[in-house]
Amino acid sequence: MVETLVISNIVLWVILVVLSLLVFALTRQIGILHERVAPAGALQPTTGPKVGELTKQMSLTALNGGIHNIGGAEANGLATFILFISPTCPVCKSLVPTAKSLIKSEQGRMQLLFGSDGEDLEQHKNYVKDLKIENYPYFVSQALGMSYQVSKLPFAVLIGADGTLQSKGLVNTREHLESLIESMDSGIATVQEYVKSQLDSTDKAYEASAAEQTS
Amino acid sequence: MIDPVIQLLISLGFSLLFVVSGIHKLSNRLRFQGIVDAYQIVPSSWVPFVVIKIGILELTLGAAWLISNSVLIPLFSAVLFNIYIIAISINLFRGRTYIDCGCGFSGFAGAQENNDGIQQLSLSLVGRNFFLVGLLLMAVLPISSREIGVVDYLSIMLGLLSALFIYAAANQLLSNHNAIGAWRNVSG
Repeated sequence: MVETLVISNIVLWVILVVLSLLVFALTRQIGILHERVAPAGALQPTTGPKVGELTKQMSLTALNGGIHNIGGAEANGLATFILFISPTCPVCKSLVPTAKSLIKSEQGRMQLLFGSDGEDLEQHKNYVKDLKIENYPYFVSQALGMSYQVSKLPFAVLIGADGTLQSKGLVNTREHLESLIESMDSGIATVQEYVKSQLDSTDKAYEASAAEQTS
Repeated sequence: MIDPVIQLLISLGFSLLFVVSGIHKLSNRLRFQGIVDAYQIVPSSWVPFVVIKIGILELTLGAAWLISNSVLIPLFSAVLFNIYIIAISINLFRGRTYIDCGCGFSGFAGAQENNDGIQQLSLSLVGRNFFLVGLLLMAVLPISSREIGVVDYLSIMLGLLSALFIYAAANQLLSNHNAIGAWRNVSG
């Protein structure tokens, strides 16, 4: 009996050591993964209105009947986040809950709108019900998509409270959505631009120290 | 009353912890001076002395845990940990959460991560230190007398090994948490 217990104890200890080693290795991997994954921003197209330009005001009727003004200076002082989606786009479906939670976390400084395009209104109504976004304005309007030159979905446009275009781009993940808001807050249009400015500043520092050494 | 195996496990564990971090602090004196300075608790001119003092104190405690069973050792160690807790809390209160805690060296974390192995201050760090103090105080309890056999030594050895991995994993999780928190400040 005692022998059995001793053996089982040893076996358990070995398993525990291996397991804790595994847990440690996993946490290490998460740490390394975090270091390796460079930030990725939304892909910004070169066509369409430019970031910083004042957007054109558009008056549109939402799917649920409400009339909304998009673009131009918003009366309620909120920024406008338009996510362009479509029932035929599989990625859009997974991105909608993410967009909802992200805008909620922005504590009421921006409103979320959905834009789409297509003939079959019934299909859009089912889509809205499916995604549980009845409380958000949903526009089926070709003009809206055209004015921001939306060519690929899911696409997002962020208009500041003053009516200027803050950022836009092709979005596939939460990180992309966040990059749009980040770009509005920081005033830097794209990640590429940010990296370039960082490189320039280190170059300058390097040149300065080189000049110091030669003098 | 606690079993001698548990008592031995605690003693050896803390001995290892103190020796490793003491050596680490003394061998990276310059870097650790910067860390202590960033706490802004002792005047800058004292920092080099404080660093050497902490290093030697930790080494001494590490050796003492190995040699002696005295109740004073857990108590001294608890005092040292409480000083750390207070120092961290003061800086948390000041909002200086971005400084390096200087306590991330669990042997592994220090060796593997290069210069950017920074563990920032957080409430969970205070929690971790309170947990360690709790363990320390367990060692103050009187030890029951029992013959220690081969199996017990095996338990101690393997238990120590798994405790080491778990401690390292917990530290890694803490610094991962900080790194992820730095991604985007939602409340800001």
